[in-house]
Amino acid sequence: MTERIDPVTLGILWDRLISITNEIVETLVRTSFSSIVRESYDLAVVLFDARGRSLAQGTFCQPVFIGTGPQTMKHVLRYFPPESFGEGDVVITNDVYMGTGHLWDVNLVRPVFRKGRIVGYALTISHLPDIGGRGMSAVNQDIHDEGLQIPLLKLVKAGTLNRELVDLIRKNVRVSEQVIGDILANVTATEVGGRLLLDFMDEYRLEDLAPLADAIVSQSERAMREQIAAIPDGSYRNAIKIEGLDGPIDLACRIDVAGDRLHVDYAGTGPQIRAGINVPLCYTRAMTCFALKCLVLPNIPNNEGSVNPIELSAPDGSILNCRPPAASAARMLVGHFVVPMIFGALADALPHRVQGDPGMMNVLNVVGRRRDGEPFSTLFFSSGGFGALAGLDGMSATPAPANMMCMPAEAWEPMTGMRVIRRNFRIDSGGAGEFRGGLGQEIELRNDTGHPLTVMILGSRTEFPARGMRGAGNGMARVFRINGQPVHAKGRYELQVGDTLLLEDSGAGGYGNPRARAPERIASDLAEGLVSPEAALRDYGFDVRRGRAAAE
Amino acid sequence: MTTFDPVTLGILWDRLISITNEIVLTVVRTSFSSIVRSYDLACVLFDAEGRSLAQGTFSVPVFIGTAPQTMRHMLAKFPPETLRPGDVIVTNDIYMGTGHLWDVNVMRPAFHDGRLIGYAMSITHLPDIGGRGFSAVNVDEYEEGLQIPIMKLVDQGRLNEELIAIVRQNVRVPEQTVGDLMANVTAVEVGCRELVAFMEEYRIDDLRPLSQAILSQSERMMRRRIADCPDGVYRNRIQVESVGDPVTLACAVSIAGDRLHVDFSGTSPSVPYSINVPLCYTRAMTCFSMKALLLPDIPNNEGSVNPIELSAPVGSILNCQPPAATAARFQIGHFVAPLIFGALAEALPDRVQADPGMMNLLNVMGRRRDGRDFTTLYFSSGGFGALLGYDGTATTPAPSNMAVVATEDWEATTNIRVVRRELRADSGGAGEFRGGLGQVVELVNDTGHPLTVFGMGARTDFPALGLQGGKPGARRLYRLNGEAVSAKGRHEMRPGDRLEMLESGAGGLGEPSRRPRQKLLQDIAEGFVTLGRAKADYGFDLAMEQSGKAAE
Repeated sequence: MTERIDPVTLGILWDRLISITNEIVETLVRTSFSSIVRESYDLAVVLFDARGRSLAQGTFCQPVFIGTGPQTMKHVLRYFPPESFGEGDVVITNDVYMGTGHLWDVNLVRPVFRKGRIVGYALTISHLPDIGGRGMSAVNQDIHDEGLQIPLLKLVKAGTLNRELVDLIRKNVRVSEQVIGDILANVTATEVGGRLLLDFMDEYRLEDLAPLADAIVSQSERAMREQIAAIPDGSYRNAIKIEGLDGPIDLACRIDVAGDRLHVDYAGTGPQIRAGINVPLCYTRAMTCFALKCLVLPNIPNNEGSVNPIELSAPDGSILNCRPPAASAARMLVGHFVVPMIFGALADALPHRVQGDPGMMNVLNVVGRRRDGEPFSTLFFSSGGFGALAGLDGMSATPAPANMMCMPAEAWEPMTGMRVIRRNFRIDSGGAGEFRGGLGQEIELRNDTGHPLTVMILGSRTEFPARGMRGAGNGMARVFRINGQPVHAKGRYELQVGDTLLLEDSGAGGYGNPRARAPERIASDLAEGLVSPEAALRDYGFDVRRGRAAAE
Repeated sequence: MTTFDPVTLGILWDRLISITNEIVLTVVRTSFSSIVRSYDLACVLFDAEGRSLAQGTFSVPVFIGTAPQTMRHMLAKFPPETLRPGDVIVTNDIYMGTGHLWDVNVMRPAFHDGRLIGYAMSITHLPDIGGRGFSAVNVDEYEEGLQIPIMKLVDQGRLNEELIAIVRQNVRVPEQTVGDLMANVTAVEVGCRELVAFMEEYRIDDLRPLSQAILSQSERMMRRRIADCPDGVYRNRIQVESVGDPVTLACAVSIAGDRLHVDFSGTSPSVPYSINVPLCYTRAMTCFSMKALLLPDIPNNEGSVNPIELSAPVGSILNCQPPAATAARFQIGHFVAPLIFGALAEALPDRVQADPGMMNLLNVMGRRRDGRDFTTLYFSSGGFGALLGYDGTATTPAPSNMAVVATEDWEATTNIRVVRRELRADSGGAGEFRGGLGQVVELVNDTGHPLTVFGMGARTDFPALGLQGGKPGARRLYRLNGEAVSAKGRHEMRPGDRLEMLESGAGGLGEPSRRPRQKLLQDIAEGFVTLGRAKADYGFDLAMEQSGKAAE
């Protein structure tokens, strides 16, 4: 069928698809056991057509997953051609190279059948609270430290759950109730998604998703190509240093734009290392697509068409294209920097669209026992500031390029028995600029669990702070302190009962010359306690006394 | 027939043992890894009730102690009425298997004329199971590797491809590991076939009368031997080196009539290293020790160890609980044997053995010159403890039963060159009966690649003690490129680096001054004892002897 769809209908149908994915997200969040999904939204939901092209994703999604999801789908179809699927089948994997880049994310795919034929696929992904092994940390040395590897397998066959596989997973992980609960929540979510997709097709009397899919994908691809063509042809380079474990790591990119074609090459990037921060290519691709889409095509929903034109390459064995048996638990500590690196490369070509460096997300993996003796293994998400943009101050404690919700104290304290002693904005942490970089927070946690606690810090931005864009200042660097003493951002530590961990989160880079910042904004910053009088004078040239006098 | 005359019983019993020996041969011939060729295995036959009847002669003591318990757990999960021809059950469960994840337990029911008549079980130590590796310094069970709960490896002849895929994905040397796993499958198939052939040959419809005869006779004999020991409570307490501080092992052996109970109260608690011992292993070592002392002359079967009861405090290092790490449980567990021998030294002075030098294990992970990765174990050994009337044999493990690795096999498989391998003069403890010598083994990394080795050697701090006046053996010592290093550490060997392992000697038995001159002369002639030590330890001055002779 090749009927064309008018723009209005296309808009309606497209929105409906997205709202289906949002319902699946809600299902996943409501039925999951772990706070990582419920509170922090470390998940994604994507719908595909029968050919395995991604059509729509949930609005609350992790950027990386919507970048890896389509690649995972291709692997699924390679191992399980359509004729090998039956109704009620669900495939599972956490494979590092075919999934999202580390073992903690479980990917589930369900074929959706209508009248005996596959009309599409529903994919859900969520970050499990534990996967066995040493734990999610930056100091794992190779993949064998990291946990249970689940190859592409059918978890459900014709509606029957593979109980042996479930028992095996249960045996290998800590907090197995939560892990199995979360996996089964994914199974449910794909089922809900399948049902909603079929209802949608019934409602709009669509025999086949293909015409809609063709329209979405081709239109998006066309739009992306137009935007690429609008960038002046040329080669745009950037190279940055980021902190590693015992020495900085070099990342480099060269973006070649020629007409409506764009290629990102990461040659010049340092090699993979024996630590848990290596980045598989699937994740590098996801971050690349996210960065470029934010810059050139932010307003249309994500789908395969919008990223098809983006090509990339990275040297085999580089830290952005690691090979087995590389460890990759904390791949975001390197992978997230692809985004500011690309923004930096295109800063001159697209000056009004690029952003000050983000403070970057922060993750604490915490494993211990509650007061009542129940073991727990979970993640505490927090964030540095969001980078400033032309016309927009960066929001504080807002992650980029991730999309995680920070962990509320109300949920954290009962779940773990740790106390959140304080949580306040970190004054002066945002990079000065015409538009100010977002602030980080100061968060102090205390081990009130009554037991020793293991904390694996997955942090960055302690050595190389977030840089400002176009003349703006840098954000403050992050600092971690245990009982007042600074500790390494990627270490693994034991907190005894009563020990405290203070997280001074990083600020983001600003945008534009600080001296051009509107006085009302500075006054507001001062009033809200975001900027101190000393910093106002030093960074913005704003004298509080004179400022006030000027206002009178 | 329901009763057996002694001759027939003897014939049938021997035939059963020879069947198990055939299974052993099958496993050894069809396995991929050199570990099995070192006889790190066991093959056991059971009757229809799941009681052990016979085991292969070349078996590792611990397995024949754990196998009957494993069988019970397997039948609890898969009751006999649920089993079908062609089913094969597998597990590597720490508490229900042999005490660590490396040993795979494979069991197959045997059917005859549609009836279940018995079981064959085969156990081997796999070359790798994923995780951090076989070492003494793992922190908990989650980082030790893939856990396989009791499940069907083969379902009525159909291989569980998914389980194989998971094993393959998670281990370092998948070809060898899966190959060894399948060798076990073949072995139990052969075992069942032979068992059925045996029944047909002797026109036995039901193995139970035969097993009843074997078991009851064995139990009766063991009870008689126990009753022969003087009633009383026999205690011992020893210090054993650990990864951190030394640990204490304590036992109280209570003998009352024909009842025997070993209580390990007073033993140190578990440690955060992988040398904790699950109770199944403690029981296996206890049974082995008692059988060696009291009833060495009849073949092992469940009856011979039924009368042995034991208890160990929950959470002690001899009765560890999840999530304890247990890879190198032998490091502590093997000391149960000398602990018990020491306790009964006064009650059974003619039967006890001086401390052995202990087995030694080196786990190596590397890459051959041709680029193939390998993960395997190098077994070597200290000396065998002296007994009344017997010098200890050199380089003979106790209480284990491993064969040391042949140089030809080792060099071809790993490209690690064995520069020298010679008996270590003066290492055997002096005594009327001399303790067995250890060897000196020197290995060179000729692989052309870096090599990781994990030492698991004991007897570096506390030497093997002598008995009844006998002297201790030499302590174990490791040298890397000439410098002393820890025997329990992880060491990285660059190409060309040398590792020397000076194996420990065993304890001697009886006063050295009572050693016959002829034997000493022979020791000196063969280089087992140097002139200096002959004088210092035995008071034997060859020069004086010879001048005395000359004077005659």
